[in-house]
Amino acid sequence: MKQKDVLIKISDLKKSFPGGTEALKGVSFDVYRGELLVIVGASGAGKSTLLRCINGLSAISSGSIVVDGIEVNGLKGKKLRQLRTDVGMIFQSFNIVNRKRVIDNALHGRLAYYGLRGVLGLYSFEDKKKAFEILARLDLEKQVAKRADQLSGGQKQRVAIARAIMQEPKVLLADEPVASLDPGASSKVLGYLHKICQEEDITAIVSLHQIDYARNYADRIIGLTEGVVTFEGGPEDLDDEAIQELYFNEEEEE
Amino acid sequence: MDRNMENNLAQLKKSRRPGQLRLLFAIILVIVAVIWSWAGTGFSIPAIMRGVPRIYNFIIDDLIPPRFDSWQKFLNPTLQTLYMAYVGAIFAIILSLGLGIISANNLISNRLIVYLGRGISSFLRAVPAVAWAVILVAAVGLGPFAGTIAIALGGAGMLGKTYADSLEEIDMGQVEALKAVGASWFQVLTQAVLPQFLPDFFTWSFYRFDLNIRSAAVVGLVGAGGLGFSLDTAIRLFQFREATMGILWIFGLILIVEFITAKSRDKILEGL
Amino acid sequence: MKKVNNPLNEKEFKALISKRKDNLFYLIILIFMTFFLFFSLSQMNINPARVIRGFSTLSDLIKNMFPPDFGQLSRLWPLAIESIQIAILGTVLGIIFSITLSMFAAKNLTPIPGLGVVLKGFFAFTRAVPALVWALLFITAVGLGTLPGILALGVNSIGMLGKVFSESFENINKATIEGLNSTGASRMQVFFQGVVPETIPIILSWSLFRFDINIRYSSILGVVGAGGIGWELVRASRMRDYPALLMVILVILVMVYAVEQFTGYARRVVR
Repeated sequence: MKQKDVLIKISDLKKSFPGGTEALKGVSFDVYRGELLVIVGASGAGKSTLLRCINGLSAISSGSIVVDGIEVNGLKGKKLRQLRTDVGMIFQSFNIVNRKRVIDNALHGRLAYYGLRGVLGLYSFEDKKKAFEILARLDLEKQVAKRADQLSGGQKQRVAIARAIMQEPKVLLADEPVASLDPGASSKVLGYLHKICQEEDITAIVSLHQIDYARNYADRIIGLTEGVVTFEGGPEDLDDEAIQELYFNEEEEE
Repeated sequence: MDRNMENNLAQLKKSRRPGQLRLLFAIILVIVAVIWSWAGTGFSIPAIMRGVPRIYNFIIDDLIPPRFDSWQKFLNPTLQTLYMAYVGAIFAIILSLGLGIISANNLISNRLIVYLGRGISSFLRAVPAVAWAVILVAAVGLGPFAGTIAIALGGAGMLGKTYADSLEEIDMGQVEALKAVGASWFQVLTQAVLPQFLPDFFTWSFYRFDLNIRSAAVVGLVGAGGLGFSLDTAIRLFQFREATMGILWIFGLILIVEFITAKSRDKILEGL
Repeated sequence: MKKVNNPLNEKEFKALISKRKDNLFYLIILIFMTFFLFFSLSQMNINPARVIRGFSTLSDLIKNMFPPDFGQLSRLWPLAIESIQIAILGTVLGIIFSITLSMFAAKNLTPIPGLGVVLKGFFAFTRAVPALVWALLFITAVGLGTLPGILALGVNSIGMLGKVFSESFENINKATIEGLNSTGASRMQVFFQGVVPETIPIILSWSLFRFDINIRYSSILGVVGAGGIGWELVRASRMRDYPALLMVILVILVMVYAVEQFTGYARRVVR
């Protein structure tokens, strides 16, 4: 039974960079609670920018993004940090702190709930137990005390997933999470991601450029071409014709 | 076919030319500079020639053997040199942590502040420690107090720059990830920035301590405490053999400290 | 699919992720260092009262320095030039001798085994004794003036450059040397046709670096009488002529900054 409850509403989102590049030219769509939404598109289509606008890592030029009732455009300071605790993010280059241990990286997800103790890295025992539990569900219980740089790429990304899950977020953004991994590790990581989002009932928005993965894991797919939504539908609707349009749009060459 | 070869040879010659030209230019520049300096300073080889036997006699008659029985005289000054170098290093490190952070263009968005920070480091660095010591002796009097501050200031200049350079080279992705988690600026600093900064931090800080020993030994020559002071006194009183003993102490201290800091640094870097 | 409820018991878990041993170690070190800090301060008779007094006298002094005495410029300028010239000659001297000596100090080039160790020891010694102390020694030998300054900088430079050059000579590709040797080239030829081209970038950039260092030392050599602008520092300080003192500092700053810019530019060009 699918809930048609809208978690994120994006309306006419536009983003231009200083220097003139228009990355997003008026994007509008909804994200439903509990679904795994995949955003596909060629490199440079604006997938990364779109995700980064949702948690404010990129400032919105115009338009609106409403996350569970909160408008992101114009959010600053403490309110922005509060929003970010509800939005988890994993990155293409993992972005975990290599010098710290796996468990410390996972615990980083709770930093917003600590003040000075977070600066010193002193977390509650409850949180430590929770971190271990999540890491174990991602099959990392043997690496818990190891330094993060001793792990493989796929394992590092799973640590990043654990960090995001520790935030107890409403939505998890995954910006090209498997672009740096080989196919074997990629499907493993996507599998873990899918599974844990279902178990924790977390809405997920994943940007990918691999069509196969999109088809396998998505509840819905949004296709982005040069900053504009050119496809919206289920995986079954993503036929060859649609793919042609998304990726092989040769008309506008500069 | 011949024309082709001709063309290729010509191109080869051409490609050598700018490099060779530059080298030639550099050599000419250096020769001109040397001639200019030679004339300006009245550098004369005959003077050196005359000086060599004098140096030789001086060393044989006046400098050696060192007065080993005066070794105790230099114990306290040596310890004082150590204290000065240590305290100077600690204060330089603390000061430079702040200075380095505000001088890092990836941590501070206000370019004016970064510019200011870099400027302060440059200024502190450009004035040699001995010059600082001269000023400070005029202000707070003779003794190690002036010397310690002088060393700290010069040290902060160097560390401020190197800390900032290291901080600018960290992986900003890790910083972004923690921002995305909702961490505060301070939390991001300690949990994402500093862990990456630690190896360079220790390397440069230990190096600074080594340099401080040298500085501390020398600022005494202007009255700012330490071995330099005793050395200066000995020389003024024409007690050259004692002075040699003092130099041996300086040498020994530098060697010992270098050894200890090298070992400590290796150990710490291993553990990181 | 796995659903785990913490397979380790509480004690084992705590032990696994505990950083208590490490934290304790760091804490002890920190305590030691703080203790030594206060010990050193007390040994030097530095207490809060003195610091506060020092601050006020220092700020008075700084206030008295402004405005700087620009009238001194005509006197100071030639001395600054002299400092630069001392640095140039000292550096060039250092470069020439260190390249020559490094030829014999490098393990792969030296004709007499063991000579390398002796020379490297010599480098370490000349490096360890501070430039100002060398200046003092040379003054007693050749008298006051610019000569002792030049010699002091030269000798000190040999120490640093000798170490770096000999190491870079040792690090060049063995194959290159073997190739040249096999053609029957003499030692000199091998050196200039094989070793030198590979190491020129290192030689150039370290020489420029040393020049930068030498200009800073040169500015204070005058303090002990070895020429240059350093003497003016002491003079102004003794006569309590603070505006002049500030002027001297400004001149030194300009001098050091100019050379810094020059060497920075030159090093970029060398690339």
